[in-house]
Amino acid sequence: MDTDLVVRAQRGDKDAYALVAAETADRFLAVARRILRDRDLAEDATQQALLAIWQDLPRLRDPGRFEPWSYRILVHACYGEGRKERRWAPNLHVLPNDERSVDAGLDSVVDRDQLERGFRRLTIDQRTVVVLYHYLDKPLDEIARILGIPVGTAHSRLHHAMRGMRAALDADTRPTSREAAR
Amino acid sequence: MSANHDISRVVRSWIREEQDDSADRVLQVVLSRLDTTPQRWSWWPARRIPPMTTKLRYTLVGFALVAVIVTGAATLFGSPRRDPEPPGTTAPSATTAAPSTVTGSITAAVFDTETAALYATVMAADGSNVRRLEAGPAWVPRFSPDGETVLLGAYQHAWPPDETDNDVFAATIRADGSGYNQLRFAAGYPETLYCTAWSVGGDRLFCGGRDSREAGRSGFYSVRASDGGDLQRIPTTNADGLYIPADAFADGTRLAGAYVTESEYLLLGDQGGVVGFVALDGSAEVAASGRSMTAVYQFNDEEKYPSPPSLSPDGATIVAASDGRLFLVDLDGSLPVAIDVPTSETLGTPTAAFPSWSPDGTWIVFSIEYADAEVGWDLYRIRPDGTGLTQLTATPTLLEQNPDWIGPTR
Repeated sequence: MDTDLVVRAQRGDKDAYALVAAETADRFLAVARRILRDRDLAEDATQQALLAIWQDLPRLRDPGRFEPWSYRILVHACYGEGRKERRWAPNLHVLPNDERSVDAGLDSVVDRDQLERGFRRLTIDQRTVVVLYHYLDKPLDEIARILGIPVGTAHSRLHHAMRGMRAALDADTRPTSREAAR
Repeated sequence: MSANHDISRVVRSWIREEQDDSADRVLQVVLSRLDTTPQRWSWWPARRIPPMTTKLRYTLVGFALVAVIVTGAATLFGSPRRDPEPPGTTAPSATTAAPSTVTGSITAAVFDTETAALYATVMAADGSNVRRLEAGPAWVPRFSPDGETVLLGAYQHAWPPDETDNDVFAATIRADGSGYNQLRFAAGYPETLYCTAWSVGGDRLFCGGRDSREAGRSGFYSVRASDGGDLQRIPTTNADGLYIPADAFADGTRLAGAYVTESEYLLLGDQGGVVGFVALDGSAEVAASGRSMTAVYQFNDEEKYPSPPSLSPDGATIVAASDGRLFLVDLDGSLPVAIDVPTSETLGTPTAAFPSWSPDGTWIVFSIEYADAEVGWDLYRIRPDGTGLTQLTATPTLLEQNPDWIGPTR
């Protein structure tokens, strides 16, 4: 991110912030969608985050730290939407499968539906760490700073998330008692 | 080790391969809102102070010391100390109800925490001249289009049908407090029927029906305003849950409102439901919010009642509450936009609910309950862009909710 643009936006330059937001929005939406597993909620979170960033930019002391600071705001917005997701289950719709890349790069024993189900079973805390680590390639110490948690906690969440995914996939591929009896 | 490595590799591959959408729509909304979204400034400088010479540094320190000494002396020996405002009577970030250009009247539901009485009040739009309507309970009071009558938007309960002490609260009353008129619904109305909106002509009331005993009877209904007769159902798609009328469109063909699923109604307190509108002939039913908004408020452990959203006078935007915040929902399908109600330095985080538009569409009247205040809901108004928060009532033992605002000329 161009620091000069951030500084101009901090001073209320809307054109500068339009460039900052344009550079940020697609990535924010991709991150939010992966965390929340719902397009509408992800759009809500992205919109709230981008407006909150505009509002709070004057409070950012070091413009060079814009990226981790902005991700922290996005994650908070996702947490807010995630709370609603649990309560508003009737409004959820499952993300469509990406048919163009079925089986590409994945183990043949694991399909996308299994991964989707397993990932949805994780807590939003765990999903967030997984997305920041595996999608954004953030190191754990930076993830800890973004989330405002100790590095050990970030490591623990990632570890438990991977164990949870493994357990969910194992459970999915294990035959039911009726199938096993045949 | 191998298993963990494998699952990490699989998850990483899967999470990176997901298809992404463009955020153009979100970006468009965000940029369109910048003009009405003020930046928040902190007391510290956002930028580092540039390097200073030693002479300049000592000069600034000298000025700071003089300022501290002068301020300290004024505090110790100067003007008499002023007692702080009683907690809860004013919101520091809000302008108190001062001389104002707002006109018209507001009606609101009031719960008296000392007597447990539930009634409606009518007041001037600036919060002055409060008058209690000495009549039956009112949870969602609504002015008739001519402003002469108030619908005491309580519900009528039909269950169990053989008992005579059913809750029968639906009524109208003249805004001057006279002419209490209890409505008698025709036989066959659903288990509960909440009437919370007037037709454009003022001759009918729109009600939301819910029936947990018999599927297929939930939906919007309308009744004759004069006596509650001539029950008519407005066709809607969902067979269960609760429909909550908000406002009729000016052309008289559509009704804005909210819909809460049965599970949301049973399980939720302060949120749940979508807002939108229906055509009165059943030809259209549109959920505009695309997300859940408040439609039911948990009154106490046993009771919950509708918290209708409100349609703007131009028919373009619904204001609704969700999870303690206010949202503007444009009926053109764009994303809901939050109205930023500021946090009070002394009273804490606001929980905002029960929004309703002013007659000219320039204000929204609503209720706030502050987290750190020992008192409950009071009425406030705010502009749609989040500016101009003004407190209208400051009543520690009275909880004001579900306001409705009507103009002076009708």
